[in-house]
Amino acid sequence: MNLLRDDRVTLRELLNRSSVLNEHSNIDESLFEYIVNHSEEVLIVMDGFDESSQQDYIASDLDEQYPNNVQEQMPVAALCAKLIKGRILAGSIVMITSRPDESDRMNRIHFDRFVEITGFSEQQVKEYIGKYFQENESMKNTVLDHITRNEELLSFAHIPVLCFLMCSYMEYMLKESVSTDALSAKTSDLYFEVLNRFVLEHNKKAIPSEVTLDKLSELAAQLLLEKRFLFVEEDMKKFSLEEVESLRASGLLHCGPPFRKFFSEVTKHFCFTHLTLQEYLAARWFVKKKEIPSTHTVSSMVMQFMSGILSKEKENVFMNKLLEALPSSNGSKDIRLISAKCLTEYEDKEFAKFIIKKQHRRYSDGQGGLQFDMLTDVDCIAVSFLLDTFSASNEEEAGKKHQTFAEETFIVKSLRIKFSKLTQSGVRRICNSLEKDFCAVTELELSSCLLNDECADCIKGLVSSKLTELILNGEQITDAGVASLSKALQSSICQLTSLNLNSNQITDAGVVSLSQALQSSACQVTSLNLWANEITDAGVVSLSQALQSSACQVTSLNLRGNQISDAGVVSLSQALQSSACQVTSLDLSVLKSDH
Amino acid sequence: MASPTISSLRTDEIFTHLLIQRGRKPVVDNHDAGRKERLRQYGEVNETHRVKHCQEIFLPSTDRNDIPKSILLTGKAGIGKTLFSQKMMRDWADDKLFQAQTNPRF
Repeated sequence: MNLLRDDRVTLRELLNRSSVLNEHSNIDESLFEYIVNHSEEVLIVMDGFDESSQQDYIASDLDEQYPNNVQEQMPVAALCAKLIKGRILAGSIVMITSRPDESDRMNRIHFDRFVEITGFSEQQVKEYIGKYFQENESMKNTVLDHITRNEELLSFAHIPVLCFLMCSYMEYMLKESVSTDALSAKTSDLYFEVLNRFVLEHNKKAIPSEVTLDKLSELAAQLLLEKRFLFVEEDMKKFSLEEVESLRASGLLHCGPPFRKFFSEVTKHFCFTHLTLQEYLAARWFVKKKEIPSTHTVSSMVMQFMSGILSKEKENVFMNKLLEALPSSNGSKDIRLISAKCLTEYEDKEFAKFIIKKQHRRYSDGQGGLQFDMLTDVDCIAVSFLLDTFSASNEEEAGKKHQTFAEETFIVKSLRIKFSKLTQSGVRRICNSLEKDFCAVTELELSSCLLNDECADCIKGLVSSKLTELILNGEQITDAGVASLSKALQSSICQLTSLNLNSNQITDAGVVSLSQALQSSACQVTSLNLWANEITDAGVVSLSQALQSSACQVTSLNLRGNQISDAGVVSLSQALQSSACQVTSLDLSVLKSDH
Repeated sequence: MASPTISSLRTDEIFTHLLIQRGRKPVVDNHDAGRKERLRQYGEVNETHRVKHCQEIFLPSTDRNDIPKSILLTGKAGIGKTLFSQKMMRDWADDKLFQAQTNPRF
């Protein structure tokens, strides 16, 4: 429509320019006559009304100077106005699409109905990702995991174009990397790339300049510090009119419906298209000003974004200050995890090594233990980076000619992850880090993390080589998982002495594979905990057999909370009496009957 | 009537339904809401205002018997207004929108 400007056209000429028609179809005289006589069957869509340069004209009454005649030639704007107001083709339905801010300019036109598209629901985001990657199941699962397990990205994806851009960026990253399992996209990089494309593609009028973006970033930061997410036109006084226009068209800002502020004043609220967008822009400003916002006021996401933005500038001193500014208690997420995330976003391995030594109290407890609660798969990226940093640090120490004993306290020996929601992708990432040569972790605990057999399978490599203690407490492991672990126990370099499979779904079949492993000479398990599984007498019998084997080294056995009856107890007692059996501690409480 | 080119096939495959509501979605700042709650609100819409099937947009409302002749469809940048209206047009033309409506034309 903008191309036609002030040309005078007839209705038929205008309709023929519709983007829906091509050179093979044309509205001829007879079709046009039909349209005029059956206007109730016509749906006219005017898409992108806000982009029209004639909005004000259409909203006014200027079209009244032209007669309401379908054959008449008149400016395009007048035709549109008449169509909308129902002065020609009165029976037709006219639908106009517009961005919120612009649509309010048309408050002088009467509309029978107002409808707003609010975007994807979380379920619809999943659906969309499924459709985008329908040709590649593996990529689909990786992206689905990455986005849906990250509440920021899931929420950000409510805007279909942003969802599309994220899928597109992740597809690109996965194709570039070696495997389709690992998506090492930094959140800040993702935002940077997606936002750039979004602003470029959606800005029909003018792309906001760097200067404008800086002013917007400043506004974002200011508001964030005041914990404000809504603002009004007065807050934009630092912007020129053109800047305001370009921002409105950019898709970075959104506005709400107008409301009455005072009797005589109608105003409306503005906000950023998404909360994380405001946070990203604010982070951009804080980095520019070398200012560290109080972490009690802003979320940890801002600190992460800052770290990501800083990584392009290599500002170690400032980054150091940022990390130090993170408080020792910050809501529900652990300081250690946030620090790990910031370090991951900053990406500098040498710097990370320096930091973990300097702030060692933050990164491990006094006994070389590292613990995390409430992790998701995405958090594992940061945990993995942290573990790799420790390994790199160990490697460095090993290479040094002289050893200082003080360094020993920095070696992380145990990793415990509890009350989390992990799938194979997160577990595999961590295992990859644990398997590195210089990783000193020998004790691994994963409790209440919703792990299944696939996850147990990822751990078998570690079981067969490095680990001395493994706890898989309160998971969803079945006999298949146990079989895989049992096999690993028979490896010649297996060093596992303590195995805890408390509260899983192990039945007798699983116990049989364990018993087999225990009889192998390579197996070094001394402590076995099978509390609260689904073991019955049959399983106990096979276990008793294993205990009597000379190769078996089990000294402590826990079978509490299973379904063992007298028969089972009898076979155990027999085993205990054998000279080969080394069991000194046995826990069998909560049995079906007395013994 | 001309049918859009190959891109329409892709549109059908990838078209995912959106949340639509009557009237404007209010822009409010729930001061007590934590971050999680704020993030979740983007993907939600008030059930009483929700449009469950696209055809509802064209049907008469409960208090008026006549169908709406002028409809204003708003939404943020990139929310899918263009794609949505294209789909509406195709469904209208293919008679898929309503069961009872007579044959359409553009």
